[in-house]
Amino acid sequence: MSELLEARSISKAYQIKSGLLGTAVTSVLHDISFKLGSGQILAVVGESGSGKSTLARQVVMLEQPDSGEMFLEGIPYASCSDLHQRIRMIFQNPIASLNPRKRVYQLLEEPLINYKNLSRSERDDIIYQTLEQVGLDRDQSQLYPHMFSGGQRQRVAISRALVLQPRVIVADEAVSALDVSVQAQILNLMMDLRDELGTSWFFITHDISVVNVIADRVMVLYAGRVMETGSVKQVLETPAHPYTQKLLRSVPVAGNTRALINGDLSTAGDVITSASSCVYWNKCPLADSRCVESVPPMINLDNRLVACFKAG
Amino acid sequence: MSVQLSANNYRTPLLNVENLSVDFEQNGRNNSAAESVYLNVHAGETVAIVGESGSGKSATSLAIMGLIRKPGVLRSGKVKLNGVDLLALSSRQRRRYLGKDISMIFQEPTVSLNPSFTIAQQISEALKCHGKMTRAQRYSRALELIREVGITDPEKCLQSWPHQLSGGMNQRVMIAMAISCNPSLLIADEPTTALDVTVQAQILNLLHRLQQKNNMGMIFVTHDLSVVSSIAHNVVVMYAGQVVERCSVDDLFQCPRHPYTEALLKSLPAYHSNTNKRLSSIKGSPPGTVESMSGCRFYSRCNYAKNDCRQSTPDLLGEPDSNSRAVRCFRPLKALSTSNDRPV
Repeated sequence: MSELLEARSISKAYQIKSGLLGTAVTSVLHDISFKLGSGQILAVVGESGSGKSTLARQVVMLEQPDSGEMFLEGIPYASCSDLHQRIRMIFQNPIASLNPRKRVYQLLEEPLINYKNLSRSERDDIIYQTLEQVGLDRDQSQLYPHMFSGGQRQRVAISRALVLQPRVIVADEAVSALDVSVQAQILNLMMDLRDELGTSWFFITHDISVVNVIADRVMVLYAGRVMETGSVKQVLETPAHPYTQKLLRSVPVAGNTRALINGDLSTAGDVITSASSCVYWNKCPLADSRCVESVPPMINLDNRLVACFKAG
Repeated sequence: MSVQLSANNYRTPLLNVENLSVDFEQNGRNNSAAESVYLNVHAGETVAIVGESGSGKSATSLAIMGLIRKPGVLRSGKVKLNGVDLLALSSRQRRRYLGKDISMIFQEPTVSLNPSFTIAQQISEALKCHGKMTRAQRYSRALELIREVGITDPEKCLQSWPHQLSGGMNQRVMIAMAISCNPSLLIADEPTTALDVTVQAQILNLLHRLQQKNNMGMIFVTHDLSVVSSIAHNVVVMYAGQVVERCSVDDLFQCPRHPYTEALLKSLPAYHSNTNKRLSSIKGSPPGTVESMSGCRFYSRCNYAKNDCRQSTPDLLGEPDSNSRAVRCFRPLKALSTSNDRPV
C-alpha cells in the first residue's frame, strides 16, 4: 500500500425538501475512486455543481460518505485517530476563513493547542518556523488578517494548515480569488512545499492553465462522477472524454488573440442524472442509444481512466 | 482587423474619456483610485481595461457611468458619448442616457438582480423608462431579448425569480436587460469572472455576436488576460490608478513595452508550456496608497528600475487622445526578454 490517500467508491447524496411534505434525494457524488501518492499534486477540475467541494468535505472528513471508504496510508478513516492533524484544508477566500479578531500568532497557535501538548516556547518555534516556510516575517505574527494583502493572507491560511505538519493539504479553489501575479507566488509556494516537505496536495480548481503548471495528476468531474482521470500530460494533451475535450476547448488561451472559443449555446441546459445512462449524454456530440440506455464503465486507456463508450 | 483599426483612428470615437480622476476620501485623506485616465472607444470596438485588484479599473468604469458615490469623489474628467459630456449633466439629465445609450453589466449577476422581482418585471423596467410601450409590447420585447441571449425556454425564464436560475442564466438575463434599448456602448465589469469556463465561453461568444449585430462599442473590464485575448481589440493596462500601457491586443501579447505588462504576462500559467516549472511572479504587492509616492509607481517591483525611476514620474508617452500605442516608462521594452517563454 504505497498510496498516501485513497478513496474507494465514494458516494454522497443530500436530502432536500421539495413541496410541503416530500423530500427529494440529490446524488452529489457517485462512485468516486482516486489515489494520491506522497509528494504528489492531484488536481480536481469541474464546473460549479460538479461535486468538487463536496468531495473535499469527504476527504477532510467534515462529512461521512454514504457509501465507500477513505484510506490514509492504508488505514481506514474510521480508525485514524489523528486524521484532522494529517489532512488540513485551505479555502478560497482567506478573508472569510481567517478569524478577523485574532492575530496571526493566535491563529497558528490554536491548532497546536488543540492537537499537540507543547510548551509555549515549543509552540513559538513551530509557529515562527512555519511562517518562514511560507515567506512571512516573524514580526508579522502580531498582525491581524485585515492588515495583509490578498496574497499574504493566503500565505497565512497556508501556514495555518501547515503548522501541524500534515501529509495532505486540501486546497479548495485556493488561488482562484487572487490576481495572476500573486497567484503565481502562491503556486510557486505550493510547489516548494511539496518539494521541501513532501506535502501532498488535493487541489481543487476550475482553471485548467493552473492545473497544467502545478499538478501531477488530474481528475475531471462532471455531475458528481469521474469522467476522466490520468496524468496531466495525458489528459490535457490528448483528452479522451468528450466532456474533457469540450472543457479544454472552452478555455481561452492568452496570446491567441481573437480566436473564437467554443461556446455553443445549444449545450446550455440542465444536467440529467439518471441511474441508467451516461450523465453527459444530453450534451455529448457523440452520444447514441447505448449512452442513454447504460452507464459507461471506467475503461483503462494507457494508465488513464475514462468513463465513455466512445473513448479509445 | 489592423486595417479596420487604423481607419478607426481617423473617425470620431463613440466614447471619449479625458483626464478622468477618481479619489476616495478616507479619514480626511484623499486616496487616488484612478488618475488622469484617457480612453477612446469606437463603434464596434472592444477596449479591455486590465489590471490587478485595486488598480482602478472598476473606479474608471463606474466613473464613466457617473456612478461614483461617497466616499468616492470625481476629481476631474470629461466623458463624452457622441459629443455629449455625461459628467456635466445633472443626474436627472444623465438618467436619459443610462440604460439607453450606455449600459453596464456587473460581475455578480445574482447580486445585481433584484431578488424580489421576476425576470420579466426587471427586463421591462428599462423599457418602461426609455420608451412608450404598452405592457404587451414590453412583454413581447422581453421575450425577444431572452431568446436573443440564448435561453432555451424564454417564457418559463420570464416567469422565474433570479434565485431559480443558474449563474450563467442570470448573467444572460443581465445582458438582455443591458441591451434592451440597443445601447451604443456597453460596459462589462468582469462579467465572466464568477462563471465556469464553459459558461464563460458562451457569454463571451454571445457578447461578441451582439456587438457585431448592433455595432456596439464595448468596454470590457477584467483581470483575466486570456479572456482579453479572445474578446478585445485594444487594451488599456492599469497599475495603481494609472494607465501604464495602451496598445492593440496583438501588441499586448507579442511585444509588451511596459515592464509591468511584461511581468503580468510572464506570471500567466499558460505561458509555461512545461509542467512543474516555477512561475515567474511579480515580487511584492501594489502600493496601498499612492499619495506620498514620488517616481514611478511600479518602481519597487520593477526588474529594470534605475535611480531616475524613483526620482521623477514617467508620463504616458504617445498621443494621449487616441488609441494608438502609449506607454508610461522611461525605458520601454523592445521585445519580450525571453522569447522562448511564448504561450503554447
